[in-house]
Amino acid sequence: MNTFPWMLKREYWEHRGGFLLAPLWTGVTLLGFTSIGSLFTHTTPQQIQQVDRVISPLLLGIDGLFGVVIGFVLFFYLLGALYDDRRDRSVLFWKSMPISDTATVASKAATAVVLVPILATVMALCTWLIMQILLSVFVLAHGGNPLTLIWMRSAVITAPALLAAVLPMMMLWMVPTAGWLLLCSAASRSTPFLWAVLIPILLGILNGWIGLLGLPHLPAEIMWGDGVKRVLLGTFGTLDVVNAMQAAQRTGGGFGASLLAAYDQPVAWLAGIGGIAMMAASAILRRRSVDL
Amino acid sequence: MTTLIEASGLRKRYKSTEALRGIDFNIQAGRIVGLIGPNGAGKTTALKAILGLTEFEGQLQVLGHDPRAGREHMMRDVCFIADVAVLPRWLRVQQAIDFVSGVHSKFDLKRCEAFMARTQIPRQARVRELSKGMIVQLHLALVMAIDARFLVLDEPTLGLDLLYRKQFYQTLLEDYFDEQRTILITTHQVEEIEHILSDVMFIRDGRITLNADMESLGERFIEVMVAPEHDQDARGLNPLSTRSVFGRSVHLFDGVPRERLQPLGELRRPGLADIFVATMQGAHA
Repeated sequence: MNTFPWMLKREYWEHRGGFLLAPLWTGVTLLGFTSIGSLFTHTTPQQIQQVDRVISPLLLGIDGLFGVVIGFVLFFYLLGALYDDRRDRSVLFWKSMPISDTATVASKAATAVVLVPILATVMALCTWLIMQILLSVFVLAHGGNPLTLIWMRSAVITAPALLAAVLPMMMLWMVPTAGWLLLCSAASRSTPFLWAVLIPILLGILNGWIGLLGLPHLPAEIMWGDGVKRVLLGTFGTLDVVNAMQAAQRTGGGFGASLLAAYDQPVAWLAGIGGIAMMAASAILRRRSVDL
Repeated sequence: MTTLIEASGLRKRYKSTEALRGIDFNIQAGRIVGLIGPNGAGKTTALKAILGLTEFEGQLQVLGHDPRAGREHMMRDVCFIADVAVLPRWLRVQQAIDFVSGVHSKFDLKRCEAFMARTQIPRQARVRELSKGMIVQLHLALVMAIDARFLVLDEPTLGLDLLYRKQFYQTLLEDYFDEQRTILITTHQVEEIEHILSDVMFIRDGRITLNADMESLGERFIEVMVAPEHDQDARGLNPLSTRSVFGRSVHLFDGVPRERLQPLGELRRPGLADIFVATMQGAHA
């Protein structure tokens, strides 16, 4: 009996507002502002001729915005995932089903790390496509030919292809934070938010103190940049990838350079392993107690 | 008769208290067992141990499984309603049915629909929009549609009005229970379940103080309404408790042979509640 799809569905039922409606309204708002804004923009004919330059940055920008929205949604989803049902005691209902705790934790991790990023990327692509259509109307209104200026340019294909190609990397960045937040969610008897945020930050400060005393400690950029940031801000992983690619593109890099910039992050792989270990620990905690 | 649950030396310690002090008991298949005790006696802890919801020390086998390991296999044959209204409040009625139907291999959708048809629960409503009685009806419809061998009910009717409570136990007995199934119930409302129980266990301060089937209970505990002239003799037989009704004293005896009590007055079968109160005296002292 394949129960896993039902468990994913259950997560979607509970969090439809965050997973679907929040990105949806982001897209709608963005499109609304763009259409109104385009009415008041002054454009020279030269700019119209070079309109293809915005195709790729536009998609990255849109995806970055969606990344911020789901970053917040996922942060709070993961913090509550193994805590909220213990607080309202509905855990007693979920635990009356023949489902292992490993499967429960896996379904929540998969929702955050795989399903929601895919959903957000698809919605970012749809928003971008509609924006290309708006752009075509804009070009047409300024006497340009949208077919040759936009739709026959290679960026129309390469930009979405690049986004799809780096999606696994965006997911990988989310793993350490997903693991840490699930662990806090499973372990907390109250206020998982405080535990999740304070522990890494206090550890970072402690590490700094030890450094000031001249004792062996981790360099600040590793402690904060690779440690604290990775366990707290990983749900914004989309931004890490988008930033790396934007940097590559600013220095004139094309498809290959952007792809390489996204994947050339050894820390992400290491942090991913740590994240999976924390997910395993969450499953053990989940099995041992249902009480707050 | 097969043994469904075997517990020996079951022990659970919380930080400051010992909730279970090494208890032993067996539960046979096809019985309806009442686990009865005052607040804080360890009832819920015992149930949690059986259902694999807490860690414990000692030996415990539930349908051949250790609840601490392979719990998901055990849960295919075990169902429970722990407390009232633990259904997630955001869940829609139809989603609840779809979910259980999707994840539980022993769930019979037709049976569930038949139970639901008897209620007035709107399908698209969320659980939080239902009355407490309706939530229990829904939970019961979900659980009774599962062909489980062992059902655990922890205070299943707490806070419900009389009509729902009556209906709850009636449905359970008429439409669910058969010799293939076993039910374990805890409740404070002893009078309500007395007539459906086949066995009873009293628990107090983490120990089982009484474990008997209802028939032997009727032989062991006898209540005598004693005529005033025999009152002194009756007290000499060491009654468990004494109360007075309309100026005559009523004594409850534990394990005194019927023949010795017969001459003292009118013999009666005591209610479970009377036995409970008599054996628990001083529990809250």
